[in-house]
Amino acid sequence: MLNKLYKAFEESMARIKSGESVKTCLGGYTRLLPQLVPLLHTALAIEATPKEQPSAEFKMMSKKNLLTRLHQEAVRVEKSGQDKVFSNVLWRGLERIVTGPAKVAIPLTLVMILALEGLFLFGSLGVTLPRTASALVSQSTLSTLKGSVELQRPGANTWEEAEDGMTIEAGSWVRTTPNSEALLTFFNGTTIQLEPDTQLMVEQLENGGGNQPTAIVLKQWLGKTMSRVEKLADPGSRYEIQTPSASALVRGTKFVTEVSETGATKVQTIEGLVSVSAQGKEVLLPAGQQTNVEPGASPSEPTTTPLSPADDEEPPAQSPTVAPAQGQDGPPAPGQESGQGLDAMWWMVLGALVFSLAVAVFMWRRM
Amino acid sequence: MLQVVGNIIKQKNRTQTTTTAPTRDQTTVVKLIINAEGGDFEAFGELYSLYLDRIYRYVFYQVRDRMTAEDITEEVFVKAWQAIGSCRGKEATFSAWLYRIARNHMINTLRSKQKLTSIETENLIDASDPEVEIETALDHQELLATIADLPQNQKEVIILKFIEEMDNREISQVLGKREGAIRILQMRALTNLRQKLSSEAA
Repeated sequence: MLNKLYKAFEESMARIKSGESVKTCLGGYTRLLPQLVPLLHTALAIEATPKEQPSAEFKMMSKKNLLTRLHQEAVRVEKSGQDKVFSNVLWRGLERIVTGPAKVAIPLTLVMILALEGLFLFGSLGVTLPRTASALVSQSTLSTLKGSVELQRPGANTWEEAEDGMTIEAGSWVRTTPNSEALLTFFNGTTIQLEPDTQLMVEQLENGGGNQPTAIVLKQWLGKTMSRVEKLADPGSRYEIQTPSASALVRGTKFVTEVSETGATKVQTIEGLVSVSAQGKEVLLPAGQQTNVEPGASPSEPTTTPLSPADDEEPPAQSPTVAPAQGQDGPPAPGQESGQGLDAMWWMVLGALVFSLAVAVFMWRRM
Repeated sequence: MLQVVGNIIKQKNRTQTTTTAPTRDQTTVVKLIINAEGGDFEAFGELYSLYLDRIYRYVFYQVRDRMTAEDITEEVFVKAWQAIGSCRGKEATFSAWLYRIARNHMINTLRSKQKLTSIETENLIDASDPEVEIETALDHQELLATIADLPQNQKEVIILKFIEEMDNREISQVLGKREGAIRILQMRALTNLRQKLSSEAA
């Protein structure tokens, strides 16, 4: 019975969709009508429902965001692969030295160990090594998403064509042409995408590291940007966009800033919470709301944007809790360096001495 | 009423054939998948454009919150890219594979957020279309809200069958059930939905 009903249902649906009238379709199923009609009615009602589509803005931005993420991930995977190859080569080299001819191996190994200990000793005596690795991790970079992007380095007066992946520092200016787009990726993973005809200056970049607050302050003079802000671990941390007429301080994760040629600013929160201030007045924008700020005026009352309604169940993150990876990359917090850090260094030196003694004895016995 | 709905469907079908972007043939799609498997970002971008609307819609009708649906959709494609190698040799079922990723990711996300169905009323009405009458739109709202109240497996089968318009074979691949089970589930879901709508109307 159920099979018959299902067959009748499927056939009727197909025929109705192909243009036949309902009456004709049901003609052959008089005995099944009491069950069939309600099922068809319900199914056709569902199919008649207008199909939900992603918003135009989401469609426009999401593909770019996705491709950027995939590129970044590919670079990360490639880099970790290279690191692995490098460590394998290093390990094999050391193995060859240890297991090679003993006459060469012993002096060479001892020299290496002494050099290593020397480095530790220098470290413990306060001689600091350059923090190349840390500096690399904490860099902020510029990616060219489309067309030609221009950069003005701090203190320079001329614009140069930006290369994809180049580093940026505080004081740099970045501008896109009518046909280009750029993405700035900051040390903590926060990104800002510059739409065509946008100009901004990187005012401040402070990667405190450890538990220290971070600060990213940008001055957007013209155009449209979309910021995706990584959650800020420290309450003192800030991500701020200043425009000619307002400043937007972020406490959330995703928002759009648009500056017109007259300097008027429109801020639109997509996710989280953004504080917009001008002329001493602050307006808090939850997700799905926007405000306009005319030059010399205070921000307008927030209005709903067609983008997304605020989610009542999930209040915007006022005090983020999860620390980004930045803490692992920065210098140690004050206090650690002079106390616990020094003790740890001495223990490492002692360990290295014991290890070198053990290796020497082992080599001696093999001879 | 039944005839009216039938007419709406026919009208929609006619509109869709003229307004939606032309769909790529299967050979082109398979070629894009193979290129993407080889690390071609652009090919994956093309696949993204082809499947974005469908995956978004599938997610949206279950979470009923645009922002959540957008986030989940984006993550689905990132996961798809990461796992695209596992699709090798099964390019013909790429669509079902993608829906399965969406389904698993959605379940995990919603479980962690403990937010299975938002009861927030969404503005699902296309306000720019003057032909959509308020009454019809309210009926649609009510219908979608009732679908959202169905048990998870019934809700999924309704969305895949009548909104995504998949055939039973594809649905069985997405949900990991046999076609016979899908047929029974459909009948049960439709009956259940009908009863709920009738009781609400009463």
